[in-house]
Amino acid sequence: MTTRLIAIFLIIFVLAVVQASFLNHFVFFDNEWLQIGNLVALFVLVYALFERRRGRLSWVAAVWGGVLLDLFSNMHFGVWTLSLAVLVFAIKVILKRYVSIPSFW
Amino acid sequence: MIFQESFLHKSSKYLIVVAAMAVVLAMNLPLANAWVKNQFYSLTEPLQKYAWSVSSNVSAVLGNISGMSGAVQENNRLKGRIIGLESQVAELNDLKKENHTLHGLLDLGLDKEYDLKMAQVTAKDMAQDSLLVDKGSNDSITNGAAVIDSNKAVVGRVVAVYDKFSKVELLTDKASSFDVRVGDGGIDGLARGQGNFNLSLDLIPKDKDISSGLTVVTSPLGGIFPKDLVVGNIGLVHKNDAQMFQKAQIIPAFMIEDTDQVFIVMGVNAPADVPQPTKDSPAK
Repeated sequence: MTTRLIAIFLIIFVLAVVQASFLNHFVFFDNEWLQIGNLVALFVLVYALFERRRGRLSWVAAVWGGVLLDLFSNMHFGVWTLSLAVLVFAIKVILKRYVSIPSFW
Repeated sequence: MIFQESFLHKSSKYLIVVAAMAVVLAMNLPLANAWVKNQFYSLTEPLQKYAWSVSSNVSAVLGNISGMSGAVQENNRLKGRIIGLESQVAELNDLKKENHTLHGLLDLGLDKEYDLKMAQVTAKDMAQDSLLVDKGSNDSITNGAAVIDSNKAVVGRVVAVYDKFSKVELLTDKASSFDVRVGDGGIDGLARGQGNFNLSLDLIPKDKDISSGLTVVTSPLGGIFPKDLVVGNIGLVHKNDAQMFQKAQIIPAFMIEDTDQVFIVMGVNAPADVPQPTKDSPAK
């Protein structure tokens, strides 16, 4: 649990730095809205999707990732944190209520 | 007891949420926000710098690759432009040639002597000794009109008129024959086309002395061409005692390979030195 927690912290931190300092040299999509999508949010989304139902590390990932994104962002502090928390909450609710397979969840 | 534990558990949750909200609100205060961000950026600066420099290099490499594909596109675009410019040069050369021809025409004073219409040669039928020119009935060209070049040399006459084109029978065509006058001596004869750009002179009396090099011009007798247009020069002369007339070869004055523009004679202007009848002149 602790190892995983540290790994998540490190991975999200690296992703945030890569997102802020590396990827902004490249334009992947012409549409500005599509460029908003970022590695941290993607990681949190994927982690929340594949986490066990009772797992809570996705909440930690959402908050930590949100804080980092908020620190790198010029928007009001908390926007990314709240957004990622809502994302994880939505995924958890959907998985709990509407998805019964695969069995390892 | 259980109730107390549950209450504590719930209250701690609420506490965490409230604390988090307080932190978020505090972080939105300008001073706190600036301080935290400053500390965070200082902490992550080395990593960010490294990521930035790597990214710059990668971006430069990718930019070069992208630039190469851009260079190929630019090359193709420039090739297209070169073709366009070559086409313009060709057009300008045509205009230059046309200008040169018109200058020659003005120098000879042909425009005063004849009512001319310039036409561009669009095709040459080598098999039939004929030309196709780009003026037709839309330009008031009529059948039988004489065609000359800028050196006042006879090229032929119009034998077929279309809306925008006319067919010119060269004077060397086998079907072509017309009266000519040789030299200054006023020797009349008949020029006959032999085909393949050859022209012969016939019906010259034996007693008339003709020699190679003499100029052959059109005669007013035939009525086909206006008088005094240059046909060519006498080449080889054939005298045969068994025949009544002597024959000669005529070297045509017009050069088919250099003929790009011709002039169709629409009419002959009256000479300036001949007084024209006016209303006031006494009636005879």
